[in-house]
Amino acid sequence: MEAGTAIERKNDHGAHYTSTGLPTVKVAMWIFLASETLLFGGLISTYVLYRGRSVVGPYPKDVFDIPYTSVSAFVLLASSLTMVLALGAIQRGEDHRFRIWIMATALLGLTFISGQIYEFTSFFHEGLAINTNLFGSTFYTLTGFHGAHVTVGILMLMSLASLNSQGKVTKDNPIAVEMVGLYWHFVDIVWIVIFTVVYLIPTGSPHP
Amino acid sequence: MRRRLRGLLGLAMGALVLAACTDNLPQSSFNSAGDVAQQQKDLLIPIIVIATVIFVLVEGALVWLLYKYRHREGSEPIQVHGNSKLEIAWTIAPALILAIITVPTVSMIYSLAKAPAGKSMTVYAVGHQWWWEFDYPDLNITTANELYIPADTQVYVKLCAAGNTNSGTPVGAPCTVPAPAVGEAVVHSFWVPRLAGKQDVVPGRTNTMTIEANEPGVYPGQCAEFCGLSHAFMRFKVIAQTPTDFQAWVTNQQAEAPTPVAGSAADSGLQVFNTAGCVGCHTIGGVSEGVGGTNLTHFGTRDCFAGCMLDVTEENLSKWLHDPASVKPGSFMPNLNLTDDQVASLVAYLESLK
Amino acid sequence: MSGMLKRPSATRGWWSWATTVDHKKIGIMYLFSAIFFFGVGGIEAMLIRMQLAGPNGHVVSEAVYNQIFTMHGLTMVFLVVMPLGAAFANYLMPLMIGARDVAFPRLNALGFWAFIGGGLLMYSSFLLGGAPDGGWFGYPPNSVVSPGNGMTFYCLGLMVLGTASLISAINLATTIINLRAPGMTLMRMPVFVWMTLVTQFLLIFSLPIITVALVELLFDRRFGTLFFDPGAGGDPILWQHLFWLFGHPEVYILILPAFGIVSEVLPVFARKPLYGRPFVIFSGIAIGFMGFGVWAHHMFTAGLGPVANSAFGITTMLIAIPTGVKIFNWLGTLWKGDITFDTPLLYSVGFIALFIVGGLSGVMHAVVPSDYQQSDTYFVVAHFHYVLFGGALLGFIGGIFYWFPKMFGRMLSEKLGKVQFWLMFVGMNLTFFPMHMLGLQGMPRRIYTYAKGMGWDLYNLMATVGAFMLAVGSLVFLWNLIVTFRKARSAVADPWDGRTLEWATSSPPPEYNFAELPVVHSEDSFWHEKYSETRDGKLVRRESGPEPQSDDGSKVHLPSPSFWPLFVAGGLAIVAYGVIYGWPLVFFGAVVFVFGAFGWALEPSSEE
Repeated sequence: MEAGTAIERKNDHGAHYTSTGLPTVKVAMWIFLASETLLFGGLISTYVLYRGRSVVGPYPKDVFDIPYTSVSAFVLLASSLTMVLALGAIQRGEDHRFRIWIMATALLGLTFISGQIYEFTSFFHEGLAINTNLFGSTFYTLTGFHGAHVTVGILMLMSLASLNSQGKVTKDNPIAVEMVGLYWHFVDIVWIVIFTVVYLIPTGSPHP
Repeated sequence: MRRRLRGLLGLAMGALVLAACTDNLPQSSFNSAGDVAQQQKDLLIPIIVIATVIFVLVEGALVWLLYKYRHREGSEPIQVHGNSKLEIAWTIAPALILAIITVPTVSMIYSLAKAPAGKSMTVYAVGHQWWWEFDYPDLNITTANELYIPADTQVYVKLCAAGNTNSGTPVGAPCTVPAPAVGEAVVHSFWVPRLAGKQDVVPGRTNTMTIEANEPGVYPGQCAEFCGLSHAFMRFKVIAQTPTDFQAWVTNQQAEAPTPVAGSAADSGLQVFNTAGCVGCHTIGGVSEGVGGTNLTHFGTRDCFAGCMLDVTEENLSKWLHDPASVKPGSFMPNLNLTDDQVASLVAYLESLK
Repeated sequence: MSGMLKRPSATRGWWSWATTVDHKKIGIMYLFSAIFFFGVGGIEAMLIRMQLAGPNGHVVSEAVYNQIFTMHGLTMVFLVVMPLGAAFANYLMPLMIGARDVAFPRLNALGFWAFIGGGLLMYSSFLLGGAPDGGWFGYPPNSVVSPGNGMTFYCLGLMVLGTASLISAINLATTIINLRAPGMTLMRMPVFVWMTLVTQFLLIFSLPIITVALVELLFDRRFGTLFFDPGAGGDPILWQHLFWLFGHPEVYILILPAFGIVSEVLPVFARKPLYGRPFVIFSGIAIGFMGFGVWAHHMFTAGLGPVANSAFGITTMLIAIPTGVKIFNWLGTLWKGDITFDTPLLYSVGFIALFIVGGLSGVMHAVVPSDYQQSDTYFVVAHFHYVLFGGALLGFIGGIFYWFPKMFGRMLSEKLGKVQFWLMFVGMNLTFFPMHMLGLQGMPRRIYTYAKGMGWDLYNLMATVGAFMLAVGSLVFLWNLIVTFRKARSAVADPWDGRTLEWATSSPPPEYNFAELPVVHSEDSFWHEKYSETRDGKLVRRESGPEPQSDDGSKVHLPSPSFWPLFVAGGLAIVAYGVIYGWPLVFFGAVVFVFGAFGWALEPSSEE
């Protein structure tokens, strides 16, 4: 990933002059994350509005295994920690340590995804498909979109490790790591919201 | 030249507006014949007047400015940048006008949302693809296409959609109890402009509205929310009657279907009705309990059919009975491959159902 | 991998356009695509008007009619007016802020090619079993149960187009925020740039919401989910909320760029600054915020209840206020001016005149109990065509006439432009004014035909005649383009005595825009280099004039062309087809997409 922009600015105050003083990719990433907030907001709103309206089961209480999902939530949370450690490493020029922490982040993300796949498969075997009831529709769509975002994040994390080996992402040019980090933390925060709203807050009695 | 043209245009527009403010068209919201429509019109007319005045003033200012400050030999612009006081003034003035308009608006929103106080009659208007079913729960009457009401009486209309949902689950009439139905349950809108503004028919919800006709008469309406192939043909009529006439209509509707004279064409028609498959969908009091089609018990008293797309004539009925979908695209009534004789006798039977 | 495929370097010919990352070329491509789709949408409009010219029409079948009015709406909104906004934003904004290009040039190209992919995807449906037929608003359950693939193309087409617009919006917003020339503070930015900035944020916040709606509709159609199935506990009203949460900001997305254009054109042809400039800017920002608070005024008859209806009635009335502020300030701009009636001015004035009508009918919609009569009738059709045709489209056409010399080095014919203007101005009123009456006289929207004896015949016939006038006006425009492109380039850098930075460059500008980036000291900085004011407000031409732009761009380092955006856009389109035609195609499209994404990421933004 490129640092800054390719636009050369003569007659200015330095090689990468920007109107705000912030790197341009950073401005773009924050704006992108703002739009993602609305995306997940819409999906979470749908889930909340449709809570308790399923006409047939299985219902959340029939399938949820809160201890299990808590562990997988913790795994994702830990991956944000390793992400921070990775950023610190590359900023200090510790390339080897950077690759370890970034791959650890990817591995923890992969663990989370595997946990989700296992969870969804077991729900499916208990009779909850995406078209079984409203709970299935809203649950799988919401968590599926989140899982897709995590997967894209994992691909980006692994790419960073590779780019570092090739010398394209270094102490002098670490902006890509910071940007992927922002994205990764965002995806983690969304999970905290989903975990709370979907799993922890109990659904009222089902639709008669 | 430009100024005169614009002036003429403005006058023409104004004339058109005024011409449209009352009329005698059958489905016009300006030809109000009921209390609700009258209130809605009385709220709008003053606002149209205010809007026209604003239009004349602002457009007039535009035209005047273009004329006065057009470039001529030696003319120069003056570099004015703005005036904060003016900005505040022309922010507050429109706000005040709007505030004034808001008061009767909100007040009427609330008054129209209430169920009718005092004496009223309740009717269910059920939207099917693409026809209206009307149920009178307190009178035990089910009809289609023509909504008979007593004039000068508040009628509380409950709106719901009938049909199958995308997962195949039926939702239906009358507005609370799911009943099997043909066709899809989609959004419709119940609109009889001379009596009241519209309310939507949303599957899964029961919206309500009140209509009242001041005088006996026929008030046409049609579905006003796009609902598929034959949305344009989902029409209906509200027929308001004097109390005596309405009571007579009720009594007649509550009776079972008249039995045709043995051996008559109508009698053959009854045989066809019972054997060709019609009974699956159509209910005729004392003859059949169908599900999903129009109630035909007193079909002979109606002037229009097929979602009021067609007048009741022998020719129209024949065309329809032979192949409904060729007359009304997407119709869920099947082509039963009836012979000409069968169709003729069915027509005779239907016309006999007075 | 990056060594495998040679980096394109063409500067002429169609391949240079296909691989360009230059904002000006991309803007021009958006412009011509929009003009093309305007022709298509216009043909659809003519078919509608011919079908409705008289009662019981049979010009097309019911099934075809439903596809035509659906596609007419989708085309005009997503494939004409939005790309026109993108065309001007792309071409002008970097020039106006003194930048060389947008923040991410290849991303810019991706936005354009994804738009083309989405448009072609949408239209290919005509050949693949039928176009979408559920209306542009696609209300379920009808849009769920509508048979065939038409409404699936609707979901996928809009998702691709939405992605394209979102990518572009992030790019343009970032550019405006971060790449302004030194001294160009936010308040010194041209008003067009301000309106563009607000528009991008409207896109950024509203597009995800319609994405959610489209995902839910697509899943209901394709995977049997139950989002809008009332039998399963779903609610068709949820779609309406999600759609209009996007749909209302969308109409401001359509109009704000035109507001910006008019705000640039009027001062130039009145030869004085935009009156109340800060207020015009702030009212644009206000409209952006308030635009998110009025959505349920599209749902007044849906049965939301008196509390919701009152609240949204009030917020809808309130949003008229900042709009009025703008109109008064435009009038103030004409006051004490020295007005020349060149074509761009005519269109801007036509915009104001017709937008006032549309704005007033909009206020009538806000009178909720009367809206129970107006909603879903031709009264609404009249309202939005006044603001979108009379407003947005006329504003954009004025912009085309104004900036044509800058973009193409030639002036469009003023004579033909004026003929077109009058044909369109009169034709537009003839077509759409009668619709106010038709709506109040009981004619609902989206009906294939109507019965005899309703009293609607004359007004419908008038509207059809007016539509033919509009068609002729459009053909005059096409002719103007043809004869103008046949001429040689002859325009000077500043043919209109403009106020903003794009007029400081040659016509057309060099690829690098400015050899040396300008330093900005005020709003309308280019104008102030040409003129000063006396104490009583008279203009005085400066002797020195603006500093001439150096034409030595040899030291300028520009981003290189790339074909990866084509790859990624193609991958997106293939994935979309795959959702209809099978998982292998989805997989293949995803591979193309990912391959393209990696090729892009590994390629440096410029080769030297």
